[in-house]
Amino acid sequence: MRKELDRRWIFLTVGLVVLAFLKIPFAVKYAPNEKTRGVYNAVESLEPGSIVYLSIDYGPSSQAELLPMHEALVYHVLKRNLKIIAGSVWETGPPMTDKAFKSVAARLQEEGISKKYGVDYVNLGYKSGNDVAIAKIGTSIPEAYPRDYLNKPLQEYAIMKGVTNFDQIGLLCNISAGAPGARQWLQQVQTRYNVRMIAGVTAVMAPDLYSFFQSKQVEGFLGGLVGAAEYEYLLQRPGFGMAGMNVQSITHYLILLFILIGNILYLRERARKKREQEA
Amino acid sequence: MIKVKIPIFITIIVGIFMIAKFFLNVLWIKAVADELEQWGMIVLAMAIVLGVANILRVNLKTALKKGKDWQYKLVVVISMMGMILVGLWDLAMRGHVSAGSEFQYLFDVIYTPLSATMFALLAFYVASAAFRAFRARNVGAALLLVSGALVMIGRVPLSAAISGYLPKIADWIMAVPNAAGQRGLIIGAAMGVIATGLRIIFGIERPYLRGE
Amino acid sequence: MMRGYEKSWSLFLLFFILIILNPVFSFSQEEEAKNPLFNREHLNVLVMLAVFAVFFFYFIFTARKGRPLYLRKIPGVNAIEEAVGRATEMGRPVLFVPGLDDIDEIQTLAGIGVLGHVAKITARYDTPLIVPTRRSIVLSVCEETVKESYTAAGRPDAYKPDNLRYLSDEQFAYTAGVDGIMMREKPAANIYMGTFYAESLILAETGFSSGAIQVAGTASITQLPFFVAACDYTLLSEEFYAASAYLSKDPQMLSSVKASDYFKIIVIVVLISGVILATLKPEWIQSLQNWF
Repeated sequence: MRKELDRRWIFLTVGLVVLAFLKIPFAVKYAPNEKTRGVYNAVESLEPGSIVYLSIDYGPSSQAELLPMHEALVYHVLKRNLKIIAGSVWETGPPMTDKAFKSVAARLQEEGISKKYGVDYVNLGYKSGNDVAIAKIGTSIPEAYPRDYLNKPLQEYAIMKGVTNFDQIGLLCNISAGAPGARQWLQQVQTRYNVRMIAGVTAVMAPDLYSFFQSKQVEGFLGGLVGAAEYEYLLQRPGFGMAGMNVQSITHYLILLFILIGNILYLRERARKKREQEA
Repeated sequence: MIKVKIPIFITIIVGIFMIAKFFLNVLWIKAVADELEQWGMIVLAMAIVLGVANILRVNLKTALKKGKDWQYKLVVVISMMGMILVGLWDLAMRGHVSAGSEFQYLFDVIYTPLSATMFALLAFYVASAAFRAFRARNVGAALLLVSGALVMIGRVPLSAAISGYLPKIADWIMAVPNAAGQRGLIIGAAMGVIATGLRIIFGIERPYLRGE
Repeated sequence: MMRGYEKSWSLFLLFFILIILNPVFSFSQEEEAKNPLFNREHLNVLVMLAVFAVFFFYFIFTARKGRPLYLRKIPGVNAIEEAVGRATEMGRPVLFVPGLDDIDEIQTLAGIGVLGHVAKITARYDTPLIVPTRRSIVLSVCEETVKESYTAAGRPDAYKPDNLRYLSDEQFAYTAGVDGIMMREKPAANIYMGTFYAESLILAETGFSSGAIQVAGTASITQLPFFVAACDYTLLSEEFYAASAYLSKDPQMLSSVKASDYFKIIVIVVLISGVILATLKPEWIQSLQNWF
């Protein structure tokens, strides 16, 4: 079986199809599911001025999948006049936070809305210690993060006035590509302090969250680029998520085609062997 | 003998404090357990020194002797030392390694594309693994094949344009059979965690301590 | 008379006890009296843990008496020995990946348990064993484990410290490093035991293309499908936790597997009763649900 097809042909086909369909448009239809709607509704339900705690637990490796939903979420929250305190328990997270804040602030500026660092949003940076760090953030945000990403004391920022723990946080949102991630935030903070929570994860991790969605511990979650595209559709703000749906759709069908070819070859081989045995 | 018994004794004591902290509201037990957690975090963080020493020992030796693949080893050592020095320089000059620093610049132009490329390989490997492994060898495998295919179809917006039922079928498979199977595996794993945890806490399993 | 190292160990122990008890003196009785002694929210966990512990110690007790324990065969566990045997025949190394998490993760410890047995076999056959790690502490524990296994197998001279390597804390740098080892040093057997994330398929597919026999074991549920697709054998979830007990053939270790099986019967009974009760919805169901 190992010698039947050089897998580099498969790689080449995938590469060419992805490149081609980056430019070839075709009709797709969005049907946001209840998980995506849950995320949207959770943000919509907050009173203006409420604070969203955003934990960005991924790095550049998974930005293709997670940055679109990250930017869409930051856009939604800031546009609704809510505030964002963003931290990270991944050392690669703070630059991603920085990237999303900068691009969304620029986009809002184009729309005539001005948002200021330290007043509307803040980047707390990285906290080491995985699960223990999350538990510590749950106990006290200023104690866990005495200084922000730029090494300035948090008291200097207006957004941090009166914020001590999750009692002052309206919604917890985690965007993650592994562990520590959504599951650890659920265990260490959501359950302990009964905070409302939403999440965004890579497509591979999404099946892990179904149980928590059914038990209503997460009000909604976005799974991979499809989740981001559905969310952008709900926001009426096309971004990288929707732009990637052509390629993602066609690649799924291409992989199905490979599976089909693989099975035809396999069944043919099996029939041949059977014939040989009978002969 | 004492070389084995004392580490086991320490493991048991630490284990008992951690379990007791979970169940009891006794402040001194909590304080001791918190203190031990802090120790753990410090030890884990400081252990990076061991890692750096290992990288230098294994790679520098080969690079200097011009042994097999010495060029790669040299690249590893130079890259590591380069990033450390740039980070220290930024800390000394700016007080941080965040936005605007040289460290951040290297992160953006070298690290980001390299790690994104590694992750992107998944798209190709998923295709080749699916081609090879997703075969209807028996009834079970055929069922897996059909449900996998339905989920793949139902998860993309092109399918919603074809039929409104496709996303619904995919969602049902994920929310019912998938979630049920996952719960079974999670419960089974939890038993394994308890059994392994008890074996380690009580010193029955100690792979790194056999030197009686 | 105590030997020198025994004396220093005893002093260390005394020091350890004094330090960990230090915070005890910093609290007053009044502070403590404010809270109830027992955390009632965790009562359900305590009851379950107690039941599990009863099974656990009962089976250890019977194992010590020498009563034989029957356990079904797990094909993946036998495959580990086969894989090492094949590498020996081919005169190529064995690659053991102990997962990506740190030592505070129980999967890493379970993986290192398996490593101890693999190292014993490689020591016996004089097959090189390469262990790349992502965390420094995991490296030191793996070093001790492999060294002890080589000593136990009577081959301390065959232990090669340079084959245990820390690569990088960064997920994909580590993955690239392990892939490099697979392509350059061509191990004939790749054994993956521990926690894995998105890199699982990148590792397993590279291993497949290098022609190695591959055995994986993990409780990372989202990665299981990838290992099942790309490896020759996969230990699923609890099978993985049981693997080191199976390989050790130690009655005390095996008895813990037996205990978890019996406990599982109780969990299944509770689950089925829960489903029936939730369907029938008697009035007292809410208070029972709250307890769980």
